Amino acid sequence: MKNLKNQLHKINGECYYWIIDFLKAHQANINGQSSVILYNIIQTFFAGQNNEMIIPVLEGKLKSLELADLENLSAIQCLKISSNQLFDENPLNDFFISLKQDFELTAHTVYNEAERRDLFTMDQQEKDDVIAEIIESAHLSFDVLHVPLLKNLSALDVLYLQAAMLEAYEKYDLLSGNSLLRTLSYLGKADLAADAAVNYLLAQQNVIGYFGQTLNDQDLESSAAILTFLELQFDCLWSLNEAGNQDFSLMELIRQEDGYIL
Amino acid sequence: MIANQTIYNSTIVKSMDWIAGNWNYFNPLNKDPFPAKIKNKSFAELTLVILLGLKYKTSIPEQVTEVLEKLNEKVLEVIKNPLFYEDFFINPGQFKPLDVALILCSLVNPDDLLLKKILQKAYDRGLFTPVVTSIFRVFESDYLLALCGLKEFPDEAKTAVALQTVLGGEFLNMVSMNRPEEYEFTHILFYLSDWGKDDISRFISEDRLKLVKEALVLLTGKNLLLKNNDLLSEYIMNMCDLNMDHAVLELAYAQLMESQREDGVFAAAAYTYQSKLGADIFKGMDNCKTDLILHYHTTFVGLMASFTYLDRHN
Repeated sequence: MKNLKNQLHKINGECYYWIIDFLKAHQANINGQSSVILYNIIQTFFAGQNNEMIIPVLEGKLKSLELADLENLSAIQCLKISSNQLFDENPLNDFFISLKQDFELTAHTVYNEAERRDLFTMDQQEKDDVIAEIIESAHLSFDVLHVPLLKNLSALDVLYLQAAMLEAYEKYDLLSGNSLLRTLSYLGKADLAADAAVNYLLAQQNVIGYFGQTLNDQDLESSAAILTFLELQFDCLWSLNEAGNQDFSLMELIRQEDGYIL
Repeated sequence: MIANQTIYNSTIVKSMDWIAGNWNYFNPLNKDPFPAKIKNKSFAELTLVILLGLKYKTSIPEQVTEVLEKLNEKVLEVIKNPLFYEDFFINPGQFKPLDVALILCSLVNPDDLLLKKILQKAYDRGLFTPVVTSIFRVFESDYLLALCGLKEFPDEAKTAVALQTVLGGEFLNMVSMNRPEEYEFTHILFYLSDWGKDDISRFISEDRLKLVKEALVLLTGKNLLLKNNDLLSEYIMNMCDLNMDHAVLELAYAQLMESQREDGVFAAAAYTYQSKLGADIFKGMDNCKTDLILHYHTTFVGLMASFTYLDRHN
């Protein structure tokens, strides 16, 4: 990956200032779910900043979280927030414990490698299933080289993942492109395709900090639109930091916070 | 012999027969020709099919060579007909891409005196000066003129011009790379490698060559997903010309062969032509001619990819 580590400080920083402004301007429309994302963004990427003014605001909102809110969030967001002390004596803690147990179990069982053809020649359904499993395995594994599904990927399979990533970005499906970018980074296949993907992703960061297309006035009234938008911010920052900084690993961070194996 | 050689041979015989069977459409002197722009372009492209096919004639089925030789006679007859070549001088602005046809036909028939004279006259009158001033067209023109001995194109100049094209870039726009850029990439490689005869490491650094090869593999992968037979065929040729050894080459060729229609056509990707179907030139046109216009190019390129691929494995 070319020179990205030096740039990450600036990329993260620009996004940080946008988030602070956004939080101030739209506090009323930020619900519990959006607060999870914001909290995760700040704790993951901006923990070194002076966040004393923001954290109490977000924690106030997190107190109103309900089980249904968590069930509708992505697992990675729930895992990241789960170590927060706010939930220690909270009824939601049970949910977090079972979530972690599920993940621990999944991390040790998903890697069944059946006899299969290369991705290019599979039918669509089979391809979708295998790719989903590759992405999941790559995200959860401690050591991808010991996972049969991942260590047995052929040069053509890797090429398929790279081509599918470029295609996803071309279709402006940033989330799919990002998940493949991270997967390729975990697999150590961050080459020209990843450079091109990162270049495209960087072009999607507005000069004032956020990623993707801005929210229009109507969307700013809608908690659901804000949530989706914030999830995209997390996802883009996550992907760029995984792809551009060898020392950064979100799963490792979660494992460390939890103090036990996932 | 490669696996599936027999199947591949019958595939290219079928495509070659389709072209020969439709000669009347490709003949620019036909009374009911294609619309002007397509007429000239398809004719020029046909001369390239002939040139490449005959270049690789020891690697392709004899049956195909025979058809190519007959087509060459017909093409030569057209080019030497005053009704055809007088137009170059009356309307020099309409000369392109027939300039390419003239050069390629001269390369196939180097001993034809009348052809030589037409070529020399066109050169002396400045008809080959590229009107499209993109760098890659400049390269194309100088390369072709050098091939028929009309102009010098030294190695240092080749390197300098080639590096000003997409070949000299960083390929960081691979997500949004558009088709003209991909064509520029494939064509500069055709010319710089002299269709596989020249080793391009003479012209570019080792690092750049590595990057170029990596980009070729990725773009092939992308066009496999898009089922774009046109670019896929060009990348197959590039990979063969650069002597590359990657599993995607075999896969791409197998997919190209599998995609052949019963009548021999390698169809264009639907997404590339669907938006064009409403264009004026197709209004009131019969289905057969429409089909030819939509798919002749991919059939030509698919066939050229086959010639190149089979020669590499011979």
